[in-house]
Amino acid sequence: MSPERIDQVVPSFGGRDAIGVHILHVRQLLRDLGYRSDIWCRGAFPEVRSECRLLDDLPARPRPGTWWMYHLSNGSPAAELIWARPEPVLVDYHNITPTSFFDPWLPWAAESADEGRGQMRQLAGRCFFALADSSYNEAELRAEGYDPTVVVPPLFDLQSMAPDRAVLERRRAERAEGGADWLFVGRVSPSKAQHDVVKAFACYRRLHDPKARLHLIGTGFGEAYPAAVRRFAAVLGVADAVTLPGAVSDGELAAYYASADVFVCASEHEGFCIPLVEAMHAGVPVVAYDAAAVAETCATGALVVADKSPLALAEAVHRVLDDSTLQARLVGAGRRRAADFTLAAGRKRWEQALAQALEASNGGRLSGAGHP
Amino acid sequence: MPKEHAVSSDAADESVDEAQDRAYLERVRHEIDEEVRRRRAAGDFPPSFERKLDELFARFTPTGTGDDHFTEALKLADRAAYFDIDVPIGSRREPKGLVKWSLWQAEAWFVRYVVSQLNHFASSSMRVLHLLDERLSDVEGDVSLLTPPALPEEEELAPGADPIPYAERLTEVLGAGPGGRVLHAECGDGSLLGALGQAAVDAYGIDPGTAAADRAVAAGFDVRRDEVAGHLGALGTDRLGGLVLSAVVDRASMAERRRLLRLAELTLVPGGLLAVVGIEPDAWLATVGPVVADLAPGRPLHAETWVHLVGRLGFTDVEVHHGPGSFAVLAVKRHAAR
Repeated sequence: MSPERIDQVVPSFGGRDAIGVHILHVRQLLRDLGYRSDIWCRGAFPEVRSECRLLDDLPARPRPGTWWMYHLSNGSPAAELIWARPEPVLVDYHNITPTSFFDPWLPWAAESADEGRGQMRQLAGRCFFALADSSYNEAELRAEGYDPTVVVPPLFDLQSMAPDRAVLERRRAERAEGGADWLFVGRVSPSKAQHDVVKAFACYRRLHDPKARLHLIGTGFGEAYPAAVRRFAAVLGVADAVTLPGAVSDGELAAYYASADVFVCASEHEGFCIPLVEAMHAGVPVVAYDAAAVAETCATGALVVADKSPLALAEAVHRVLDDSTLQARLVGAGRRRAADFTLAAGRKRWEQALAQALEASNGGRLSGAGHP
Repeated sequence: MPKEHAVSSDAADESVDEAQDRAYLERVRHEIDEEVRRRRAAGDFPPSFERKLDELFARFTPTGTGDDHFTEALKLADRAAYFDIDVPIGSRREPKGLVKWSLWQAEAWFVRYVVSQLNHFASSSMRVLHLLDERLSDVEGDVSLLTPPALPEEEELAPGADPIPYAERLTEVLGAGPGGRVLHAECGDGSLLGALGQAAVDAYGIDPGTAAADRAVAAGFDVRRDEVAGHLGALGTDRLGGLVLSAVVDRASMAERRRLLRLAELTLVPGGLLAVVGIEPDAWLATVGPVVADLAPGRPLHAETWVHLVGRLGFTDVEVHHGPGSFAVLAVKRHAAR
């Protein structure tokens, strides 16, 4: 039996981050499919506060005809609140970063990740259908006993990015002085390993291109790691060539993509990694370290390397920038790969996934009070 | 401008299928690996330098060590060692705010009681850490006094002992060894590598970058610019069929010598040969000036001392050979007990 309402639950709603954007697109899809759909959270950023409802205001009484879609990426009391309720639960798993990456930097984040892993195990018994951003994520779900599961990439709109003119002009002026532009986009966090990009960048400047620049775009996760990356760049003598502008607008981000020569990802852990797709879509050749779901996301659209020692990564980037045929092939293959993740294609996959969820619910997986 | 590489010339069609793309990228990766190996061998970026980058970044982690990072960590801990007893009572809805305020009032005495104990515990713990910091600073000051003063720049350390007088015996023993590559560190102009090569012993050398090493590279020997302890540390266990140590053993400090021997034991395969080629202390004193003799971080050891040291690590079949102003101590890494 089909539900009347599919509401999404996320511990914290940012709106502009990858999960936030995905949630907004999923809500739109659900509404387009005729479901009533809201977003529930424990807290929201002010700019998207009007888009969601607070779990504090959720009535305790059961809501027949409702499914919950819980977005799992860290630990939160929101998970306990949802599994204590009688309505059926879907889990959309975006991966939980292993605690080892946070321990020395952000002990609270390590605790949250630990809690998330525990809740992931407990939710398995309450979830009748689970969705995963990638096969890598799906394998983790399976290992915790989730069944059935389906891989369905997150929803995002590649077409919405128009370059900010002011940033583009500034970048053009910088590029007129020569030197390649390296780019990485992602939260400045130990798991994303921006420090490894800085190491490789320092090697590259020393061996190949002393005028090269590196742009590390993304919000800092805590204060300690971004500060350490800045200080590290300073002691390596590349501080003037490394910029960490923090969070940027969509237009500014598009300008960075439009003016980059290569996208370099040394991340240690990715459940999907949307910036890889954005770079491929923008025609920026990608060099990425083969970790977690990175190779799966890139397929043959990027040069995925198994060794990210500074020299190896620097040489891989040099090869891409120095070899016109390799560059052309990466750009072409990257664009073809990015086309797999257009919003239209993603919405079709999600429709199919929801149909599978309905099938699972009708196949006897759901029973008991409050289930449709 | 980007140029075309040979691997790409036969496969420029963008419409190739995914299997061809994968094969192409695999070839590119292979070529990059080869280039990295070539650059490392040429000394552009020795493995020890890349490890130093890791160590450098580790200094910036919250648990990193060195310089003033302990003091910074203490400051962070000081900030975290205070618990705020003022719980948030704000709410979007007035009635909820009142409820929270009432609850807070009712439980305030208990919260204060618990938090005051936590604050007391935290401040006591921080006091202990500050005392440890003071003591550690004292110890570091004392240790810095033990570090030998730097040599004047114009003073040069004596070159290492010439290994050639022992080449015949080394070739003989290494040729009958358990197999595996032989490393000569520090290899200088590569003369021993030449002798070993003529006897079909698979050998390579490392050197920190002397002019002699440049000549060895120009002569076509497999010589990498790297420092000995870093190189051995990166090799891993049971990797070498033989290890010849020269030059570095004459100038290293005692602690560095012990580290080198431990690394030698680690990297040699069971039955592998360790050879220490050193200068006789008396010969060394006769060649260096008085400033070097007094201030050098390490002085050459007698052959008997090396015999004692390798024996303590369990090396067997120890031989000592003497040449003009130098000696060679040969010892075999024992096989694992069955």
